[in-house]
Amino acid sequence: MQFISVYFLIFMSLLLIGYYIVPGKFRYLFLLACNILIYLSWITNWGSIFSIIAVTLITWSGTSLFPKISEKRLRRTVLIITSILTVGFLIYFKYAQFFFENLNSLFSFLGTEIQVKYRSPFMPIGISFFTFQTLSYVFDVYREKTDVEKNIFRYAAYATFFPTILSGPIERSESLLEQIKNLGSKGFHMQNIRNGMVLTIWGGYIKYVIVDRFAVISDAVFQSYDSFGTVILCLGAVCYTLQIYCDFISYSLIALGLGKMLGIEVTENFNAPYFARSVQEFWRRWHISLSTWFRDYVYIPLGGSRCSSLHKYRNLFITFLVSGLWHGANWTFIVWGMIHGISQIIGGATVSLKKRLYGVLHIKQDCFSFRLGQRMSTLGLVSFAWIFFRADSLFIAVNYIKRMISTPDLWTLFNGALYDLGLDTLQMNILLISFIVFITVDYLKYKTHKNIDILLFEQNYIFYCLAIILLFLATLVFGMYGPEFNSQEFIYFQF
Amino acid sequence: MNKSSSISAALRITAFLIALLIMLNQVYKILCFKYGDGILGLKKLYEFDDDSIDVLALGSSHAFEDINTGVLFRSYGIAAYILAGSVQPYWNTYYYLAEALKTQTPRLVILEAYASTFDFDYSDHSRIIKNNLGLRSPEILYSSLKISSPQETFDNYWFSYRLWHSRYSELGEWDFEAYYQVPLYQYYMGFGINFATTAFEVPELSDCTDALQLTNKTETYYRKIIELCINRDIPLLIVASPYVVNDREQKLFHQSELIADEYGVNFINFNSAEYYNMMELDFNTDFADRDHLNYIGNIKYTYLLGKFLREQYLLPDRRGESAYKIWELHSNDVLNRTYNQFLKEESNFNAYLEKLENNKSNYTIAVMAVNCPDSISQYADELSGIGIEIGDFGNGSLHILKSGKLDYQSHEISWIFNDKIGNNMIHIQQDAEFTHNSFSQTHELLWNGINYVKNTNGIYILVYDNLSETLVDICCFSESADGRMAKENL
Repeated sequence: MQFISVYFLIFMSLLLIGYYIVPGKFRYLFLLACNILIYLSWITNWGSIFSIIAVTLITWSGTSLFPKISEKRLRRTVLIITSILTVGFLIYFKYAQFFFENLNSLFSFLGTEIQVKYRSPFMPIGISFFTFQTLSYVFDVYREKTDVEKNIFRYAAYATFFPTILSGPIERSESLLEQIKNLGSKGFHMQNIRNGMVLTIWGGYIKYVIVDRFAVISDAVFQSYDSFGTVILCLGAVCYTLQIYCDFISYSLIALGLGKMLGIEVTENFNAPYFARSVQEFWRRWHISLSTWFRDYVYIPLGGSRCSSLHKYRNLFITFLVSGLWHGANWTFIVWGMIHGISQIIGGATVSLKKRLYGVLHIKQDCFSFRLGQRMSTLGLVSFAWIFFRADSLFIAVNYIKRMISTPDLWTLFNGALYDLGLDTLQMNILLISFIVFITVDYLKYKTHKNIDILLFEQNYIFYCLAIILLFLATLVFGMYGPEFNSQEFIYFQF
Repeated sequence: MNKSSSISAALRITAFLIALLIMLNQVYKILCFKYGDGILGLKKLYEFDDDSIDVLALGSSHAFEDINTGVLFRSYGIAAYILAGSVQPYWNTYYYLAEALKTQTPRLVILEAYASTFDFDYSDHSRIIKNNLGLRSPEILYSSLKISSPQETFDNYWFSYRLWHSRYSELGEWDFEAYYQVPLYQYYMGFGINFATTAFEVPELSDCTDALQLTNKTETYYRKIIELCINRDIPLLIVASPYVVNDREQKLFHQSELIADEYGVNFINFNSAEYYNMMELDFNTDFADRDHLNYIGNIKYTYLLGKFLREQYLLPDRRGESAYKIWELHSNDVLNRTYNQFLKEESNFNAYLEKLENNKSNYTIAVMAVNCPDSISQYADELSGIGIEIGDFGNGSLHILKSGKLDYQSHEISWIFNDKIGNNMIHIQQDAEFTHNSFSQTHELLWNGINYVKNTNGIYILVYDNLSETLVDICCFSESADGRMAKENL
């Protein structure tokens, strides 16, 4: 059952009716039942449900022991065992094959005939997200930042919260679990339904009207990169840059909207990241729930920035390396993480040098063109890194970049070749117009820190209604779904 | 929330929902499928008064291209409607019948039996759309789709927005108008004329007594159609219309006949030498393609069928009844279109001018003479018949006639005529150029921006039918080597 489908619409309507009818003190049980039902509708094998139950039980049992143990060392041992068992699932399902493949390559490289035979298991849906969400709870309880949840069903409702389980945001216990604890006291508010619906429609619009059109171009370019030159390869990289952002934010908005309808505030995952003026700022705006997770549970425990510069850069590098690995078991993701880590290190190490350089060259810094330059160079670097993220292998990524540099073909800008990438003139126009609408809203968010539901609600009611109706109709008509189109899954589902 | 703010909120939500529904409805109207061979038949059916159709014909394209409802009314006063769809299998026909019987109780149902020859369990994608998505009753649509579409694609048809939403890339002028109100469909009775002509050998028909089993699904729904008619006490006639039939199909028709006999239902297979003779069917001129009769063949077939209906069934003669005026308009429209085709195919200048004269009240005619031959004077009477006097006819003249009256005429050295005819733009121009030792003229005849003037000298004629709002013909008659006026279609 996809989030944007008639079946889900019916299910969600019934869910909301039931959710607000059920007595407050049982609402979390109703939510848990819905979480399980929806998760069951997604899974194709029972291993997924086994994994999520096991992770939930392990983390809940482990944390339940903390209050009973006063000895520090024992608490630490329980923490380590709980963490290893939890992460063990992730490692087994997601990284084992990658590990053995590389091990076999190493054996071959060393000239031995040893080959480890290993068959990749299915990957449980949402495993990266529910693992991190439950781990954050374990760490927070251990650090006594949050109370132990004694009610396993309430905790399970947190661990399996359906709007976020597929692609995040990765919620924290201090936010989501606290809200689930207080579900009973929350009444029905029309504005929650209204705002939630606006966010969901907006997310659907981005996904079906914009993302899948960018995907047509980027897929065409990445699949046949060896037959294109500079212009089209750059276009492919830019399209993927926009595709992945729009894809991810669309899911996050839907999660935000669904949460809102349930009276639960889901963490904002994006804040106009492509308007960032540095890679550091980019990471404050991109996949915020994951960045803060790594900051709180990897970077800071490693020593954070309160240490020597060398150690700080090492911590930064390790954090981004792990972040890359989290995204997928492939060297491409690791290199992607490394590029971001190194960019931040260089950025941090050259701050004073850059300042001096600007002074010497009399470069004005407090002007639009300077800020634009910063934004463009950040976007360029981020787009470059996305090539590794998108490519199926390091070999492809390197060759893609090689061709991008070595085969100039400016004429393709003028000979109509851009329209041979899967989108005709009409589809290109739809993409262009819908993207302008999206980027305008994104810019307004950057300026005002308000989401579209609030921005629209501040307007005249007629404008508000018209905007929602037009968004809905644009998605209905121009959305790339149905048998005529090959509608794509959300990219972050695979993680 | 106090009472007034609650009322205000309720009003706002209601206003929003109404606006949403109105706009959704508009979008649906524009984007929905508008196939003439399946969906439109149902759409028009819903517009009839209850129990106003006397004969309901069902089936595939063999029904809607072969049974001429215009002839049935004009010649026999039979108010017939064809509810059929392209390559329509019996399971769709069954649900079409069930839908029709909700509002109509015809005095006779005719089932065209071509679907007996189908050997598939599911139609192709476009036929599933055409044969289902016009159904309005949800329970009938659901049942029909359940049997029509493979399980894995059912959702696409049941939630049909998944299909029609992407029609935005193929929208045309029709999609933004009430398309069924354009002349072609204004008096639509389910019948579509096919104006193509293809010659065939007469099929060799053995005295086929063998029967071949229908597919399970086909037979099941064939029987269900018969049983539905019997249960509703509606007489049923099953016919196999003439076409270039083969042995296998004859065997399947024979089996269909045996099944019909079980129920005591009339079955006529018109694919026999005897019926070919009775109809005077000419396989060189009367077929549009292997499967369908053309505008000549369907008249012959329908005439015989109508005669049988008149003799065998108690069907009222509706001619002259005010409630059946639309059938009269329909038969006029069919006649008019058929007449236009005969005009278009006429190559004899004399006969062409006579045909123009006979129907001139319906036509807008543009006649442009370009270096006209002297022999034109022998056609003075015929030209006069359509409203052009031979004295006014010159080498470079233009005559525009609207509904039989001269609207514009010029025989100057140069002239320009621009007009809008229906939704079409016409531009006719003659330019003269003088140099120190020569004089030349150039000509243009533009219809919607396309120039139809060739290097031929002669008489250019453009005929537009004001009733059907269609361009009937653009041609040029020029003098051939043997002195005849030869026609060139442009």
